[in-house]
Amino acid sequence: MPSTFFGLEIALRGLTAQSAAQDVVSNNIANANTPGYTKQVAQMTTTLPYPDPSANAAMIAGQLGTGVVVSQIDSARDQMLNNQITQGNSQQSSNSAVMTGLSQVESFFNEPTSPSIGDALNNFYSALSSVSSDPGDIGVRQNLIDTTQALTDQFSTMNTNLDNMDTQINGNIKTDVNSINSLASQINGVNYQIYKAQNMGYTTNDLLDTRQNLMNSLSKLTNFQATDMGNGYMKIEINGHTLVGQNYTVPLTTVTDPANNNAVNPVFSDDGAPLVTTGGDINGLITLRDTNIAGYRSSLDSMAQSLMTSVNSLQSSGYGLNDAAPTGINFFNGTDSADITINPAITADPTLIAAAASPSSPGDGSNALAMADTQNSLLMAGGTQTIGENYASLVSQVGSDSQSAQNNDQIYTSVSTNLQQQWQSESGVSLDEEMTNLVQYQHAFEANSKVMVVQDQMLQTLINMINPS
Amino acid sequence: MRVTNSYMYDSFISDLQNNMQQLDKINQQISTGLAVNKPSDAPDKIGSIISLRDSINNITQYQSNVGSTNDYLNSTSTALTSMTNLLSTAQTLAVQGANDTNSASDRATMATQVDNQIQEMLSLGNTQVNGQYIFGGYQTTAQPFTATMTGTSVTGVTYNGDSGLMPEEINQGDIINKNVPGSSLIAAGTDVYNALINFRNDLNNNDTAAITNDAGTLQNAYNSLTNINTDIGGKLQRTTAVSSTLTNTNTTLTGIQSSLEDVDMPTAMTNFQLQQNVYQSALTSISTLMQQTTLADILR
Repeated sequence: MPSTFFGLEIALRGLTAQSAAQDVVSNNIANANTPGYTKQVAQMTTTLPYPDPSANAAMIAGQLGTGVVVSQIDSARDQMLNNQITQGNSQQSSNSAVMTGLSQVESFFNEPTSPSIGDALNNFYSALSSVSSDPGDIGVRQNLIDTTQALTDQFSTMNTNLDNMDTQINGNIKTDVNSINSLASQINGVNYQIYKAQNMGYTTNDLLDTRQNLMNSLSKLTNFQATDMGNGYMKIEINGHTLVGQNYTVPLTTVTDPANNNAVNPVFSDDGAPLVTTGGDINGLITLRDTNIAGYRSSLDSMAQSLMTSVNSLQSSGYGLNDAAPTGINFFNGTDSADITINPAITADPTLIAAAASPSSPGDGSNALAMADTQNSLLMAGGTQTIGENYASLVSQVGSDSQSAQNNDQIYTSVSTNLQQQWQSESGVSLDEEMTNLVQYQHAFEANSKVMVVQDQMLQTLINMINPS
Repeated sequence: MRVTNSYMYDSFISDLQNNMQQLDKINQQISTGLAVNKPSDAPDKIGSIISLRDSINNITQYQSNVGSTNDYLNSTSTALTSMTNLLSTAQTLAVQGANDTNSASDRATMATQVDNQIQEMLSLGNTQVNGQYIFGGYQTTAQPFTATMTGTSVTGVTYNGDSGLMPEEINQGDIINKNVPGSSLIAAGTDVYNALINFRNDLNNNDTAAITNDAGTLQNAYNSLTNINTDIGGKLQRTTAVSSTLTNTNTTLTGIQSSLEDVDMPTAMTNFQLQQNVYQSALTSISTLMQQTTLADILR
């Protein structure tokens, strides 16, 4: 026989369970807008029935239910979806870093408007042609010097801009490394809390949400592989190298490469292995610096070198205004697009421009004409392009790189949005749903109270019968 | 599919953002009038746009070269025409001088006339354009022809210039020599100065046989100059033709450039209207959804 007060106990369990479920609903509503909050559900199960089967059990008609308990608070977590979201984040933020950088580079080229390198190049060749028309006119020669300076300024401004971008990128890589290290140690901390809580048998929904949020943040900086160790720990590896292990982290640090324009590169602090990424902001920054910008810079360098070689050889073998001997000097000084300048000797004395192909011939502009004609010489890309054509294809390359980054951004953003929506759909809080649950648990709570009142009245009846007043 | 509240609000934001981006892009095209505002707007076209700009720029330079070539050729032609007129007069005088009806003093008078012609021929040989001597070859800064004087008469003319030809690029790969070096005026047998000086000397010497001979020499010199001038006329025709070719090419290239670069206004305006309508509709539907009653409003 169950105890006389057994009914009261069942009603109490009911009240407690409904009230606990009500708390879970309250928590869901309260966190409806909390980023990364996974909707929680109170799992109710029946308590052990009475009596336990045994040889000398009191026989009643059957096992009697003993009430309800909230056995577990589940969360609507989909780890596979979470992993897809982190991968999507890595792709998106890597591409986004490239896209932002390239749109800056595009603005440096300032095409199809002026001033631009292409524009300055045209003016330079026109000025050479004018000198060939009127080699004796110092004003025309001075104009050539001015347009040449405008051209070399364009080259050096472009270089300064690209160098500044490199500096900015290197700074961002350092910031990213710091953020990665901070996130790694936070994940390590949460790992330990989850491990302890799980060992004590708690469900750790909110801690799991916290850890997932940290991993989402980390995925925007670098791609990684996360492995659930099953004991509460989540191991984080980047390209097979541990970042967060069981109770330890391997922080990243940076090294500067003096051979490569002082590029800052991330390495692991334990063995100095370089960080190899395929996604995340840090990957985008490195790609932008080492592939895109480095490529553009080397194209500009080849252009400047072809320009220097072609004009310098004619300048040094030609004759200055009324000179009896070849000038023997260069028109341009410098080695690449960064340091190309006009020879200061020419700036100081415009008559040194070798317009003439024959000695002491003030009316001879044929050498200047030959210089102007290098505009049409196939000096670049293995003798298939003029300098101007090479420049046009460089701008076109920058444009198509930038455009494809923009297109990828649209794709990755829509993938990310879809995944986010899917996550919201599976794990987000629906207020209507919670309102329904709220009402449902409220009614159950009221019913349990009613049971308690009825039990109370039954006991009153019993007590009054024994001890009539 | 389960739709949650955050899901809806996230969608509102990203949808409106997309609409705004589209509007911004079309607005930029309309306000600049350019379909290509940066290389990434049309990487397939930007190369052509830059090449076209290069070509148009070159044409402008070629047009300016044609202009300076024309100036030079015209000045040369004018000087040459005056020279041939002088020679023609001298030749008539020589035929007249060879005639036996003239006396020695008549011939001396003629000689004075020829002396003046020699002076005039000298000053024509030293014609300057923009401060440059056009008959000096590359030696544009010094008088190409200087006279050796005996008293007041010229007894010899020295050429100080060279035979340099001035190339001018009037179209891509089309190079024209715009000057006539003085050396071609004093070629052996057709030397204009020697012809005149000898003629004058023979008049003074009253040597009719030699004067008859001089008439032939003057004729040869005249023919030679006329040939040179005809050649200049041919070159002027060529520059005129090139000039109109350049103008036509420029018009064509500018047209192509515009078709590549410029925005098609009617299409852009239509798109703008369309996009604006989409944006308005989105705003309307979103605001309706945001004001929608939820279960919480109804439950009391």
